[in-house]
Amino acid sequence: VIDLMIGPTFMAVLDAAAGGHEPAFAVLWRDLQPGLLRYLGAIAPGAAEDLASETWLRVIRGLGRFRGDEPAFRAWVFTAARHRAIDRWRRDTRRPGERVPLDALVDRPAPDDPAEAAIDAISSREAVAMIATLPPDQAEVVMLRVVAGLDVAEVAAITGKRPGNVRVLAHRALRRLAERLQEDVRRRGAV
Amino acid sequence: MGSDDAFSVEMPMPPPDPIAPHDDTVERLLTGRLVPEEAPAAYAEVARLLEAVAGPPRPDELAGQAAVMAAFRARHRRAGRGRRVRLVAVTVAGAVFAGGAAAASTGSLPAPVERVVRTLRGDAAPAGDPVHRQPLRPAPATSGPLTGNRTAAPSPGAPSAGHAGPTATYDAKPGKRKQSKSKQKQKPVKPAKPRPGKAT
Repeated sequence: VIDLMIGPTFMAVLDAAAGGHEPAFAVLWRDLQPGLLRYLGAIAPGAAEDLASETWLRVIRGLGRFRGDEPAFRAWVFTAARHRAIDRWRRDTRRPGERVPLDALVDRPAPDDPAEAAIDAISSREAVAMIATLPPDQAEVVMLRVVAGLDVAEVAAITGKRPGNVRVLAHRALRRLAERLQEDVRRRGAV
Repeated sequence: MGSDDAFSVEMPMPPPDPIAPHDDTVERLLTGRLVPEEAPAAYAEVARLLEAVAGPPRPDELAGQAAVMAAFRARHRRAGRGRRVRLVAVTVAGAVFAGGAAAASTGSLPAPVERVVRTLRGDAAPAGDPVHRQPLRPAPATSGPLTGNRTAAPSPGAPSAGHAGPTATYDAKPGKRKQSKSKQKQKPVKPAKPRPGKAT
């Protein structure tokens, strides 16, 4: 899991940020922004930067009213991001979130060929691009678990799914990734 | 039945899904507790992939900090400006009231000002309103006073105290004092009229 939790000082940081303390808010932003971009990059490729900015504007407006601990804050921020992405999908007349359907990618590498780079040192960007090739609900569950550091119950609450369903989606997602990566290893071995 | 038996003997049941991950494997992969070297063979690359997904921040991911901080600053400057304007307005209103009360009694004030002072003295409704609402629109010319405010206000232990403090001071103290003063001054004027009628 992305190791970005603020920890015991979180409440003090949050309180200070809510009072207008810029360095405190910067701590919150730096803690969550990378994960937020990766999450949005997986569920709404191409719009992650914009959606993250919209999310932070919402967070800034609502910061004084937020009550909760660090996991709750993370869940709150990622929920806001999810809502921004959904709003974008609704506004958009094109396919939701500009996501490319997985079926269209079965025999094609993702845009910057994450599978090709998987065996070597894979970058977080390539890894996110590979997750983004999963069906949207699977990709979202994986990203909320891995990047946001949320547990099954929190992911279920955010996505409006049952915990059992969240587990199944994660299970299928990892299996599909394993399959694709193994295929890639075989293909590279054969060449 | 016999054919079923023959089938089961001749064709051993393959695992339903050779690469289906164990529940524990899934959980450990998702929480970063399964390193590629320890993962089942089929999931070593998945573990590596998820490690990369959760990898350290890249510089480009933190490039937007200035813009977000500007939005944060603007938001709090607006809130701070609102508080400051109200504070200034109350001070002005107080000065007008205190000085005006004396000046009005000598008849030396211009008519509009005198009207305001009389309103402040004689009206039971929130007396500061007509005066202190006007300066809320034009921004004060002061520059950078928020810095002092901000460092003083947000004590980490009391989140809303920094926010509510100045507002509470403005709302409660000056208003109450003025009202009590004005009531004291009203006393000699009012009792002359309706009380006796009510008693009968």
